[in-house]
Amino acid sequence: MLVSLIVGVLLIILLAAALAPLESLGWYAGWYRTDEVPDAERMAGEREKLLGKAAPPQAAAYMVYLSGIGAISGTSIPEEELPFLERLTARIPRVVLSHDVFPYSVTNTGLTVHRAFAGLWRRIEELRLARPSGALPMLINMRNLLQVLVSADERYGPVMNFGVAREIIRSLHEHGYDLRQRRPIVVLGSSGGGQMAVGAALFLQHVTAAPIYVISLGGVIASDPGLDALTHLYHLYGTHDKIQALSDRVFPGRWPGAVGSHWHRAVAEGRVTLVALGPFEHNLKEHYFDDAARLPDGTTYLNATVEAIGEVVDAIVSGAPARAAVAAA
Amino acid sequence: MLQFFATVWEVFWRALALDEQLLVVAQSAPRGAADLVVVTIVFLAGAAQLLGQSAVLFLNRVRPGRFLASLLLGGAVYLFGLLVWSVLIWLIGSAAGFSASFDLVARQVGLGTAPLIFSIFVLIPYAGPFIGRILSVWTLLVTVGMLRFTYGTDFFTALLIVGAGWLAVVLLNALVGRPIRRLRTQLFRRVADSELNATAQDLLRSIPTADGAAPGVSEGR
Repeated sequence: MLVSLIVGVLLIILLAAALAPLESLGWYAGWYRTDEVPDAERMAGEREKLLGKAAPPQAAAYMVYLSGIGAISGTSIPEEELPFLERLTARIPRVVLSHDVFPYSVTNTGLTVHRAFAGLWRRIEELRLARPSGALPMLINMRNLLQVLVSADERYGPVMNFGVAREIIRSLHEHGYDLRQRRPIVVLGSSGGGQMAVGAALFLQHVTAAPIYVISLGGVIASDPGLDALTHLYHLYGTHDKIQALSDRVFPGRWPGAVGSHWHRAVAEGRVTLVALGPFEHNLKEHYFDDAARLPDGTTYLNATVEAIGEVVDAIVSGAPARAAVAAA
Repeated sequence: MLQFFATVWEVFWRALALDEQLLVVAQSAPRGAADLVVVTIVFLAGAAQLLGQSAVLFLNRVRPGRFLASLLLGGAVYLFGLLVWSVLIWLIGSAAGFSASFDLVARQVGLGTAPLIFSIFVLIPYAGPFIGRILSVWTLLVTVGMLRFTYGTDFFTALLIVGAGWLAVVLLNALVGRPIRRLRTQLFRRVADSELNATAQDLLRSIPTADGAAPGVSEGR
């Protein structure tokens, strides 16, 4: 009886994992939302729309924030990240920051709307608000983690990353980004958002021809083709963050022997900078957004994170060499 | 009907566990009923394999009805391929001095495909291809095990017969396989209503660049 139960649960988990790529693939195949079938014509139309408008005044750079795997929609991100975004916005006044992209869906559809299980996700969201560390809310993380793996999988990644890139371009467009002026685009990805940012980079660079930077905040990143399109990747991490460290183990392209992989090529070309922030954990406590934990100099972890990102952004905006930004951080 | 699927279910799990008693069942079951159970398992294994690799169907924007028809065709094509393999294994077994009816060998080889029903899990992002390799090894072990029971021989002799059968398939494929492959490709294209030639890597080429040109067009694609 117990064995049957274990096998049954295991099969359900495997089945859920097997179904994970179908949202992206079905979207690309035009199985859902037939009015939004992505194709070259549609992309061209969007570009024409952008080019046809009078050039708006431009910010020094445009940043899009992709939340971690705890996000449930583009508009509802984990509560702890809100003060972070407020302080970061204040720290980088010359940069336009948007955070309306839900990177774990190709259509930017949050989990709580327009889905067969939207009701279930809403209930889980309520439970999470009441008890953030409960077991059931972990389902959100599991679901989004699978989408990170979809992005990293070479069979599905191009479709998923194309969809996310479209949403990033949409967000940039809505926040005044002018394609003709090609201002730097910075995608800030936290946790699983790191992979989604790198994955989308290939399409972002292709469509915009602008310099693309990714700032990974404890990000989990595969050896993704998107790395080839990056001007620079800044990986900010906590020395006690074991989740981001998994990237070196679970993605074969990052293993030391994988000479010539996208990751090792980017490292060899000096386009990857690793910045240790301090003894930060990945989540739960003493993490990147923790405003209670303090470094020896009294700075809260949250403020240290904001400052480190601010210094990287300052270097990007001023056109300073990438390694100078690291020294400052 | 329910009884039939219950039997398929039971035989499936027993095959996965390499249950020696299955030989008795395969030998004693009425020919039609036993064959239908095995054919169902092989057909499902074939369809599941195609489902596991169905990213190509999505990338080529195959419509849902056509998608389902492609899976059915995948099951049928796999069934045909397995029949050829069974014939070759039976011929090699007979040449090696083992005596067993073709029906029995074909049933046992068919039951060996049971693990491939799990090929749907090849869809799992990132881990899928690894799962696919595990299923291939499992399938080989079950097939060898089934033949070991059938021929009453040891593991390595059964492995040699299965391996020789596989080599014969490769050889046959190289010698006369081209028209069959062409026919198979045409069948899949017709059923899917697609050329089935788009890959994930083509996606980037289909997107217009910042300079306004769709590079796929300029490259004559």
